[in-house]
Amino acid sequence: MVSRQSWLLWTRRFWAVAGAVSIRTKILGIILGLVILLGVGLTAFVRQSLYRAMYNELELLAVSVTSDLASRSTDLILVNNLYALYELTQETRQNYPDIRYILILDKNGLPLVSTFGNALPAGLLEANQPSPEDRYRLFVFNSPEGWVLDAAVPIFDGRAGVMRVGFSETSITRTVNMVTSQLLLATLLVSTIGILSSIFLTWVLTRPILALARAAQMVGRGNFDQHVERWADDEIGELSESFNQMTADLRLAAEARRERERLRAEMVEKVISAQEDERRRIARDLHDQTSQALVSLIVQLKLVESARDKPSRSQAIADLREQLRATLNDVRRMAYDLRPGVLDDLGLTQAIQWFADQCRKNSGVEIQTRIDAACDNLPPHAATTVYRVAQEALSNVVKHSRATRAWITLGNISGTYCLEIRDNGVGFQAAPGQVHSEGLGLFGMHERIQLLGGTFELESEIGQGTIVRAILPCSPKENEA
Amino acid sequence: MPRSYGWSLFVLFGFLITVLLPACSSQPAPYIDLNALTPITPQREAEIKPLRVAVSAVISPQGTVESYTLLLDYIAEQLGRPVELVQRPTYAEVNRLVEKGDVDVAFVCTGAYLLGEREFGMEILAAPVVDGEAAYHSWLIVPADSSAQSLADLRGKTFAFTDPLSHTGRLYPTYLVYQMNDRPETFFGRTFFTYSHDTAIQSVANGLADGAAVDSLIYIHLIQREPSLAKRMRVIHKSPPFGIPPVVVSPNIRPQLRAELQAILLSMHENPTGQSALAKLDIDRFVTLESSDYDSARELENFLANIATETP
Repeated sequence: MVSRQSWLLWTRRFWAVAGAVSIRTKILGIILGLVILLGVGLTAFVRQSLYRAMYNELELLAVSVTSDLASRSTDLILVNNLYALYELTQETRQNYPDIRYILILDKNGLPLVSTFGNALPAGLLEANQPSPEDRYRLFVFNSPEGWVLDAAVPIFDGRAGVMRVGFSETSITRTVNMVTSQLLLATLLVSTIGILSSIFLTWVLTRPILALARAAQMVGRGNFDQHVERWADDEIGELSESFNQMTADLRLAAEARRERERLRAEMVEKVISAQEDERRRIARDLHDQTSQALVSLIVQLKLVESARDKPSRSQAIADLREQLRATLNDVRRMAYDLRPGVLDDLGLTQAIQWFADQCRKNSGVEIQTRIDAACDNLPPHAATTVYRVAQEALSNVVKHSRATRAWITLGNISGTYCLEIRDNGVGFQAAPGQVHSEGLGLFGMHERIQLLGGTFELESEIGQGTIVRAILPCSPKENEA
Repeated sequence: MPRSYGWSLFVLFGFLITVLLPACSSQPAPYIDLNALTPITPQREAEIKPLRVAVSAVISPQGTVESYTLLLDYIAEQLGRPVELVQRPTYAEVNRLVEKGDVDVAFVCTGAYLLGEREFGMEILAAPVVDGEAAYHSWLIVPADSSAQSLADLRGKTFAFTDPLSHTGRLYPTYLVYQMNDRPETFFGRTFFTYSHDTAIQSVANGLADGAAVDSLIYIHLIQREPSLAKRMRVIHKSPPFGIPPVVVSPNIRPQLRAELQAILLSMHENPTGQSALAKLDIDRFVTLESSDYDSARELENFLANIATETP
């Protein structure tokens, strides 16, 4: 019994060889193997059945011929007509080419007439001895000419002797061999047809597969313009279809990726320039306001120093204090613009409310707020983003929209946080989805929201005002930035 | 995966084994070289020489074996010596065997006896008595549907003779034809020899012949064994009695053996075994007959012999 390991080993070895050949060879091998197996199996089966059938027929023939000979020779033996017996044997032998010998024994079992003449093969006489009650007795023996079927029939119930006729296998063997060779020839023919058809079959099967492989290589190199012909409406056809679909999807995805990369590059540029702008503004503010204020304070201090009388000194000191307070406010505002402490101190909702109040105060635009206090639960980085979006949007409203009214809504709607800033300003022409064309502000908002896994929408028409909407999932992604 | 491969291979091998194995497996048969011939060694003479008894082909060879086996067995038992039955296709051959001493005793036909007596002095050992008389007749038979009433009506027809030497089967009908101043060759349309009486009877019964002359004893014997035959034939003529076919011996037989055999045959009906053997042959007993008892037959033969010498 072959152990499982060695069986596995042999299977692997077989597959190492069989798996390495081309599909053409595989199909060829399968078809040839099946045809040859079928042909050889069928041939062996037919050969066996034919052989058996012919042997049975020979047995019947042997019994009938020998019985007939026995009855025809009875009188001849009884009246001792040896010549007629001799003629009978010769005639019978001529009529049946399968007969190898005829042997007529007298009642004492001694040869009376035989086709061997005055001699006998050793052992033949004793080989097949029927008893007088037997109707016949069959016996098979081997000889240099192949096997021989010996039929023995008692003549006149054995009172006149025994008729023995030997039938040789040659005609059976010849017929069986002829049928076998014809079957094998047919197998060869079918094998040839099998080879041709398998070549055709492999061509049909491998052509789309090879086309797919070529196209896949091209796609791998980044060429997404590949289109594979759908040859047939079968599994491979389906595969081709899927491949084409995949290529198209890949092309779209590649385009989207390129666009995103372009936007990212643009954004980095804008971030850097925005940083520079911010620094420039801070520098300007420091130079224009704080430095000027400090210069003015130095002038004021000189005035205090040069004041002669107490009332004028007091006045100068009072002015100086006033000047210092104004300067301090300016510095505070600058610091707030950089980072609103109010967000840290008050929370998101209060911070937005406070900012809206500030804008109303500073710009005169009437701003209505409807803010859900539950939105304070937002994580800090999300809260900062929401605040910055609200800040940017409101700043845009104040700076550009020439609106008289604005509405801010922040709420928790069906598992999402939704921020909406609407105004009745002049609006602008926003192409659908083009949220980033309006510079860093809008694009920055969009990018920030997207990073948190949310969506950003911008609706605007000329003269119809603008709606900015940011929707965040309840548990926004961690800001990777 | 390998498991499933294993199953398919197993099934494949199973298929091949069932198909191919029986082709290879044949039980070992003995071996005889048909070309290595060894001469047949001549049979050694039997230590006790059997008594050879010839029986003329009055009935077919197989019928002869069936009918005479009991009688021969009885003789063998009485004689204390095996008896061998010898048959020959024609009466002439049996005569030849008697003449040469190749057989000791022969059951011959009357015609053959007369010829043998003339040629080499064939002697009568005994003769059977059937139905109370030691004589027999020649009966002319025709198929049951035949319109023939006498031999004259068979002119131009097919006639079956038994043996050329048969008294009842050939000589008597030939005699009748000559009585009508004709010859068998011209009188009958066609004639053929059957070489035994039962075959002649069968020939008429089966319509092969339009008529035949047969031994009355054989006819009765056959009708008894096969009663249906009687419906298929008619007897249209019966001859006067002739001396019954005798048991003969060669003139050169040892007198002691001759006497012994004669005693066995003549006393056979007194022994129960002998009686049943006789019954098988429809024989009452054996008696001794003289050559003169065959005079009527002899006359007929002489008549024919004269005709033969007269007609060139």
